[in-house]
Amino acid sequence: MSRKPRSAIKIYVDILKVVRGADGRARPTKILYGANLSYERMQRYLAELVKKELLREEQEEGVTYYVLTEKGYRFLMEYERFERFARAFGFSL
Amino acid sequence: MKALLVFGLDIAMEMLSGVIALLVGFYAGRGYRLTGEKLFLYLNISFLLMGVGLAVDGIASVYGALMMKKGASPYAVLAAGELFMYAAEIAAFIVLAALYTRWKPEILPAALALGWYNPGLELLLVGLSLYVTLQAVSRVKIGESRFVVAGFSLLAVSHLSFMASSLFIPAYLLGHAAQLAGFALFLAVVLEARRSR
Repeated sequence: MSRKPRSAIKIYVDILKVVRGADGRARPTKILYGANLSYERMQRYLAELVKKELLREEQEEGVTYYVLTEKGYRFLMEYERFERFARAFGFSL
Repeated sequence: MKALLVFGLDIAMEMLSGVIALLVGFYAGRGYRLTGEKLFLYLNISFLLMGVGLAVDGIASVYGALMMKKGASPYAVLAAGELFMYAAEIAAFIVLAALYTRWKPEILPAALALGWYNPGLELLLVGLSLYVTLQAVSRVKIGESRFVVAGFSLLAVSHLSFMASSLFIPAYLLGHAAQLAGFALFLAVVLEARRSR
């Protein structure tokens, strides 16, 4: 059975959920596997999320981390509220 | 005096139902702006249509009451308000039916073009609301959408009661109470979704 491709917003949410699940700070490898993306697509989406100030890039001892910002937390919370609202009507996002 | 009280209660419940439907509609609109998901657009359109329909009918009823006080005949205003409400509600339920069956709502303008009053419209609303209720029931997962199923069921009961009111007048108030309770449940869905976990 073919599955509907994920929308850009769903991919943003999946990435943000992976980062939140890692205590709000995750390395690119974790995001790559957690959000099930190719490296190129992940880079593109991460750049977008940083531009939208939902994630912040940090360097520590030469390693890159992505940190969930306050705006990112609030966005995820709001999205999850609408996920619950949609579920109440029998739909999933 | 008793008739005026019933009339006033009818208008108050109708306006309150309309306001709740508008709130649910606006909330769904916010969901569409945030997620871009069409399902929220369908909910937004259907609840706004129901809310506007109820509010317009309520306003027409208030205006009709004022006309009566001045000795003028209110029937044209009341009939226009009622006709608008029926057209809006039928269109709303067609959009909801489209949402549940994944139709494209191209038939919406046809529903809006229903430009005459017919008691059969109430029957059409009963049929449409029962259809939407059954579709919602088929999607229920335990612990979810119970408010939505109960809400749509109450809207179906309200239209049945409005139909029965020609034989049994108290059914008219029962219809408004069921309608208000139904919209209150949709408001509960919004509040439950907004509750932080």
